[in-house]
Amino acid sequence: MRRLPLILVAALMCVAPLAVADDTPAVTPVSSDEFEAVLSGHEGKVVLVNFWATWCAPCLREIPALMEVESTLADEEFAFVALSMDDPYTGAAMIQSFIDRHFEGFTTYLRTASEMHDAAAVIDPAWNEIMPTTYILDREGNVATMIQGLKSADEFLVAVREHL
Amino acid sequence: MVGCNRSWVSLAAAPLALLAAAAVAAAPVEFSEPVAVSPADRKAEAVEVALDTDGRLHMVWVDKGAADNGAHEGHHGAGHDRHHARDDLFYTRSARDTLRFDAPVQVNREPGEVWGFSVSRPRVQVAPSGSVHIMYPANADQDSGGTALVARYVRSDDGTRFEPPRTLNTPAEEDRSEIVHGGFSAAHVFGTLGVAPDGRVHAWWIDTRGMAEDGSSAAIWSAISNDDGHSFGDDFEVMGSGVCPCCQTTAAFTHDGDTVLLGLRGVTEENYRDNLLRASTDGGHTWGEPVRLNAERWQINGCPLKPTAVAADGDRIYTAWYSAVEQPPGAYFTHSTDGGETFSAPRALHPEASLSDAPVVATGGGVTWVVWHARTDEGRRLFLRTSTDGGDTLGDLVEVPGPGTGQAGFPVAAATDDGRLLLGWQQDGRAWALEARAAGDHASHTHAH
Repeated sequence: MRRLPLILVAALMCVAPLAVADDTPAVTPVSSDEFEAVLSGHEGKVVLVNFWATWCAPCLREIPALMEVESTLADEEFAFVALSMDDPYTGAAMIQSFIDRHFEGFTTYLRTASEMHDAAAVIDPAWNEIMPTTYILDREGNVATMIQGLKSADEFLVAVREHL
Repeated sequence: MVGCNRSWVSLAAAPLALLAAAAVAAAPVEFSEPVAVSPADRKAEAVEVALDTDGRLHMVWVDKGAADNGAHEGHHGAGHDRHHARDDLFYTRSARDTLRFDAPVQVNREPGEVWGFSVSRPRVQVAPSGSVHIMYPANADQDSGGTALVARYVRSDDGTRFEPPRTLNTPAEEDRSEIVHGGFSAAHVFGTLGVAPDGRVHAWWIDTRGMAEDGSSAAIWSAISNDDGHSFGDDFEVMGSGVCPCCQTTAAFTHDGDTVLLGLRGVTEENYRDNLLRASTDGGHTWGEPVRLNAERWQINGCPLKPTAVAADGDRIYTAWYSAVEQPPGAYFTHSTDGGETFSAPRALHPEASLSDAPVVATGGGVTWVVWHARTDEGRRLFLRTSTDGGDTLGDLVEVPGPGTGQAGFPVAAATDDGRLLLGWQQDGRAWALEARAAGDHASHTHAH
């Protein structure tokens, strides 16, 4: 469990469009450093970070619940951050198309690190590469909770609200 | 004897000598220098190795494109709306008894058809005749218009020239794209190959035929060749359900080949994902009831991506696997002294590590080797432990020397009959190999069949 370092929010804004307009890509490739900047930009909020992949059936069944959580907590000091662990070489456009077909409105980052481990290490260097994995980060950026396996919106809301 | 042109580093002799006094049957280990096998300008992943009777190490890996390639562009093009693989499969073999490798050759003839990653690795086996057998998941368009992941197979008489790839699975009749990972119409993946001592070639894979509607449970299918891979019989169902869809299968034979062993991770309706071993005594046609290896039952509705590794030496059966619920979570080892009917309590391989995972097991020459990767202050590194008493005790852990940069991971191993281990793994975007040698004479520890 580690605390995320502070990084200039300005740097984050170059990487991550968080408010999504209709023509904004749903998928934003990020290096590990860029992903760390994304998370640092949310300090002060409780952050739910979800690792998912298009090849992970339980992950896909979980996405509607995650979108419901994001919508339910839209007015709270809360941020939702998804990171696709799909093979980065398969292309952001493929993930984008997949989301367009199945999960309209869902936005995600896509690792560019060649190994899942490197991308996850920003949050948890000891991640066991099980999908889906969800972390709740407290307002200081510390990992408060790790959740693995498919969960419901209610289960996520309970976990998040413990720290709001 | 080997090692005529390499330097050896003894990393464990002193501590293990002390352990020997405490009745732990383990071997001091010496290592050759690690050898980078894949080209520096390419990215390699999902390494697999096999050893032939002449002492050549055969290695395959998935090529992910140029090392300086933009990661999200894909090296065979990107951007279309299908889960097409974009990778290739490469093969090389070493000279006899030394880690000098031939120039790698591409195995797949359809560019970019290979679908593989660290825990969906291609498989390579070498038959007693010297023929080389490779299986890998590949994309294939289906008559229905969808794209499937098929079990592709290729053979070579001697590893110098490969025949055209063939598909081992019969086409799935139903389109399961709504429930199969990635939207494939069918998948025949996460498989393994085995060559029996009599030369029969067995292939197994996880199959979406009959998959549960929620995508949580798959089947295992198999195909067998009785003519050194020149032809295969029709594929057939080994397990109709109850198989974790994303945990690669493994296989082993007892030395006389009478028993075929299949390691897998099961899944129940309640999402318990047990490490299971199944045995066949009729050449892989019918199978006994699964034996559970884990003590604590891991319940998760997710994708563990965790195989169950198995090796055999007579009635001694060895398994290694990951668990998130044994205490502490991490890589575990169990062994059987009665041909797999019962197993020892799971033993944590690296309880001090914050993460230990991806264990593999190999046995030969009276030495059983367990290798895994674990998190250290310097990053992810490989570790091993040995046993020279048939798994009853394990020696202290030993860090495997590597190139020192990047994250070492996902080891694969082949043991020789004279107490050596040939290791392969991925690190810093390349495929690596080295040789470990257990000092001393261990032939007397070999267990009778």
